Amino acid sequence: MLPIDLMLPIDNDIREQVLTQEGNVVISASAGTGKTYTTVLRIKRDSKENKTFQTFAAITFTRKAAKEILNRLGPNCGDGFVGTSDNFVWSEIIQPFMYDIYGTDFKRDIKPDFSNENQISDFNEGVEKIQNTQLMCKYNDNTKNFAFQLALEILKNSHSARRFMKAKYYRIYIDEYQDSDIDMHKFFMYLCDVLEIPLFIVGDAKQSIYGWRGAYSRGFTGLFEKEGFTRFELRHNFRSNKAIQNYSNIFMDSVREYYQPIDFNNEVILHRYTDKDDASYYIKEWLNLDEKCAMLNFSNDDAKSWCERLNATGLDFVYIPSSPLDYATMESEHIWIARGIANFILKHRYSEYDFRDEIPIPDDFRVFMLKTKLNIIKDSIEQNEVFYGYCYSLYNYLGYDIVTEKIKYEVELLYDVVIDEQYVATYNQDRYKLTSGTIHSSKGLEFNQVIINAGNYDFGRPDIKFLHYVAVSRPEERLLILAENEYIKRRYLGYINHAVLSTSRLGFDIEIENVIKVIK
Amino acid sequence: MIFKHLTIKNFRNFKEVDIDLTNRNIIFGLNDIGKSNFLAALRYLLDRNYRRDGFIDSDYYNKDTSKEISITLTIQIDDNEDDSDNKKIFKMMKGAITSDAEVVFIQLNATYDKKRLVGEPNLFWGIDLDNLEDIPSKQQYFELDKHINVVYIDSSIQLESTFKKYSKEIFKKESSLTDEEREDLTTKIEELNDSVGDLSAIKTFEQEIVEEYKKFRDEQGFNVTIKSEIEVSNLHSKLTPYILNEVCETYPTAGDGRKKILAYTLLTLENRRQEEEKINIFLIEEIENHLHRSMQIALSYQIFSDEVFKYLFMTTHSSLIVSQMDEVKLIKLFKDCLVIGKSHTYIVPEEYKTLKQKLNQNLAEAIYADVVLLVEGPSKKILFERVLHDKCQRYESLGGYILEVDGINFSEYYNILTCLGIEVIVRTDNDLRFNKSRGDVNLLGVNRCLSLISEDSVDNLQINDVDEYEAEEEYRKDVKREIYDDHYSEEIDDLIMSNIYLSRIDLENDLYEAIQELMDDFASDNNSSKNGVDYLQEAKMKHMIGLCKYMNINDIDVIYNHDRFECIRELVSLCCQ
Repeated sequence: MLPIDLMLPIDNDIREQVLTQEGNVVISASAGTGKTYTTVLRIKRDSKENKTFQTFAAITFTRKAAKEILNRLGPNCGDGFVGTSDNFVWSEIIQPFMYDIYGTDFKRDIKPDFSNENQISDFNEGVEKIQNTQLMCKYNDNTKNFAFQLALEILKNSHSARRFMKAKYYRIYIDEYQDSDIDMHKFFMYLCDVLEIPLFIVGDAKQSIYGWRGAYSRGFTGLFEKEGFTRFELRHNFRSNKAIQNYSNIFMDSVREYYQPIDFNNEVILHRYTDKDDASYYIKEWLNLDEKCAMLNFSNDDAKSWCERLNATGLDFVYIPSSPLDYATMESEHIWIARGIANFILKHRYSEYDFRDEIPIPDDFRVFMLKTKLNIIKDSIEQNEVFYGYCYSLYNYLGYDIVTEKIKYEVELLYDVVIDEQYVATYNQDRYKLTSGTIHSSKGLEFNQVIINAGNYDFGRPDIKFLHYVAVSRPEERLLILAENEYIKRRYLGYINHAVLSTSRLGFDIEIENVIKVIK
Repeated sequence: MIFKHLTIKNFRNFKEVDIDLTNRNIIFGLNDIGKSNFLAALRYLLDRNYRRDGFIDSDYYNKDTSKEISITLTIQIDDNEDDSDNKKIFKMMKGAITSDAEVVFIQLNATYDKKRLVGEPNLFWGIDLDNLEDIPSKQQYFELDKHINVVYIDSSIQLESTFKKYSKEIFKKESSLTDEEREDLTTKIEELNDSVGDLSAIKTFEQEIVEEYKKFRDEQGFNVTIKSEIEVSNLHSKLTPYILNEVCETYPTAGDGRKKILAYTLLTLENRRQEEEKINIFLIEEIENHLHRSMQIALSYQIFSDEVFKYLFMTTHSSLIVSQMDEVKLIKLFKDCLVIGKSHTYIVPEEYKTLKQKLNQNLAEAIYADVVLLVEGPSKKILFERVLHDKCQRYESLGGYILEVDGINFSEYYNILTCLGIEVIVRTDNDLRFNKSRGDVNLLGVNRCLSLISEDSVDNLQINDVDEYEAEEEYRKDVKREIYDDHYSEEIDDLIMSNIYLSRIDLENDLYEAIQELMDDFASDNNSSKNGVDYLQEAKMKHMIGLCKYMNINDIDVIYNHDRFECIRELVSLCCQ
């Protein structure tokens, strides 16, 4: 892949406009179109122009994405907020202003805790829970978002909070907007409609894979028509070649029109196999061993069994199990400590300095102390009780002085992870050429070649079409789709037929042979 | 955003001082009264660089380190929500402000650490003085410091160092030089560097070094070259400001005055650039030093009209620097067992906007005094100064001052000066205004005096014989005497308790009561057929000067001890004894 500035993208004029358009901006950006790059470029430009006391917020959905923006911004960040949406509402609205409408009882530390233990069923119960436990909580219905409902309630009722937000932010940038749920969407719309803070929103409805937990992608697409918003579309895919782009685009109504007639050289293949041995041999034949390849599965078990099968045929695929520390059920205010320790022990070249970057307020802690404590933990891996003790000591140093049941459980799970060799691969994914893992863990990563199973994609089920888009847009060069039997093959071919037909209805001269080669 | 109040406790010469503020504040008082300490308190609170080293034991009042230093600033924030400085405060203080807050407090406390021999400043803010919160900080860099920029200017300012500080900025930006300019400069500088390197003096020096070196160690092929290293990046260090005179000859900006003004200009230019980002607070200390009066007046215009100085704390001894003041808080520090301060908001009253120059000039002189005698016009001042010449010649150096209001209301001065803790003595004529159709007179003089101490006006007085009042001077005088001796004698006695002295009739007639013979002689000596009073009133100022020269020590004694001139005795007793 060429660096962005060396290639002139087909949507070059739009990319210029995106950087200067005033007011609210919504950008739908397909996979690989460099949306984080564009967002960062815009933030840099805006903060250079800005000569006032005001600042910006860049809101992401994952810590990882926030860190990436932070790294790319470097010193341009100033006193801007870069962080996750949860952290944004907690630190900018709930913690500072909750007391302004609920009373001085709430003028205390409210700690974020998004774990499953702290579940509530209605709003008032949540407010009560915060009063009694000083912990943020969440609904047991995971399509509703308590933190954002609370934040919006505070904004609507606290003059001081509104005044603060208006005074502080000249623009708010939100990445991966398609993953917002309806409460987040309402909150963000309040920011632009009522507080008149301009928003710069980037997303891709096609990549919405969090429907199971309430993602509301209509919120995103609705912005295209919303008054006061200027819509842009980034479609030049810097990651994938045209064949891959074509293949991913024709399945999606919104980008089908970007189909480009090309000379098709079997970049996308559908292979119907008889058994896994047959599949493995075919993969061996198909694979370009000089380039990275990822097999993307739906479950850990599938990933593991495919890996074993491929290893048996002499291919050095590495199984990438997802780490139990990354499960959504493990979320808590201090889970980053356990994750950091796991990285420190398992990840190549992950140092105390990287660990310090994970700390919300790193300046309060000394690298020397962190280094000492982390190394003692690493060296005590032989004895679990000793290991726990040193971990608690680090938790203590970072402000968690009481060993709660939750911390205990977290540290015990951490121990299980760091003594289990299979997770070395998980924490060093980018060091392996050939990997077999899950599709969720691949989001944001890039591979030259990708293998998926057609059987996983039943378009009749909710969100599967989007998951399919994420998977097929992942490779840079080549895509192999495996079908385990005739039924799966025919079902999948049916989707392709439909996609090709829809494309030809747009006036393109297109046949199945132009987008995929079907074997057997 | 409006500054409202400052409390300083246990800091340097302040045991406890409470001062009302506004956005432009002028601090004055005697030498060593603590004006600089007043500014220092603000610098500790708001200026990170000043605060950084903490407090030493002598920063504590009476070196009593067992008590805490505490500095508290109150700021009003509900004046205008769209004011960009209020917005800076909203952003800065975040959840420390409730929706209904009208004022916020910023506080510094420092307890002395006897082991480390330093008082570490801790900063707090909030809306409830009894319940302030810590100001978030990182390594002594407080959230406050991101948003407040203190610009401290004093008369020791050096143009050279100030210019050096800001000249760095000139070429700092990438865009400050175009590509052509940069290329052109680089070529020329290379040429220059080569020429310097080729100078024969340098060549000789190189040779000498090599020869000397070889005495230590004879190394084959050893050589030394000396290069000039002027670069585009260090160009700014070679820049010097020059002032052009009218015929366009340049000469280095010599002369303290111009240098200072230019240095002040640089400071304000820099801070004007920062205005949008930060709240600029100017602390200005006695900038009048070394400046000619015209320069001082020029500065005064600038300081009180330029928005960049909208938050100002200025100490000064100069009536010229404050000559253009308006909407300022006058803060007078003085000693009353402890050092205390009094303050008063001074706004040039609407009806005097055109007379501002005059009002301010008088006031600017008077505020520096401790005792002020207010009189109506110049002839009174001439007489009183003559008396004081014999009785207390140095009254001005002892804090006394005679201010002639000359057409401006007494109350304008009276209120401001008394609010500042200055003793005010008033001497005014017993004026009446006759209304023929109603047949009565308004007791202007009495009412003027009563209004100063907030008493109600008295009713008009009915005149028995209207025609005679109009025709006869003596009849009019009798009416005045009646008012003074009978109708309102009690009120007039009360006024005297407040140092407000009403004439029985007017100055000339009062004087006539004391030195009738002398005045009549003075008239006849000047070939006038008029009596002493009439002659004096014929040309008040001119003849008063003459009369004053005419007086001898005994006459002065008589005037000084006369009932009608108690006001002078009061002035002398307040400042000369």
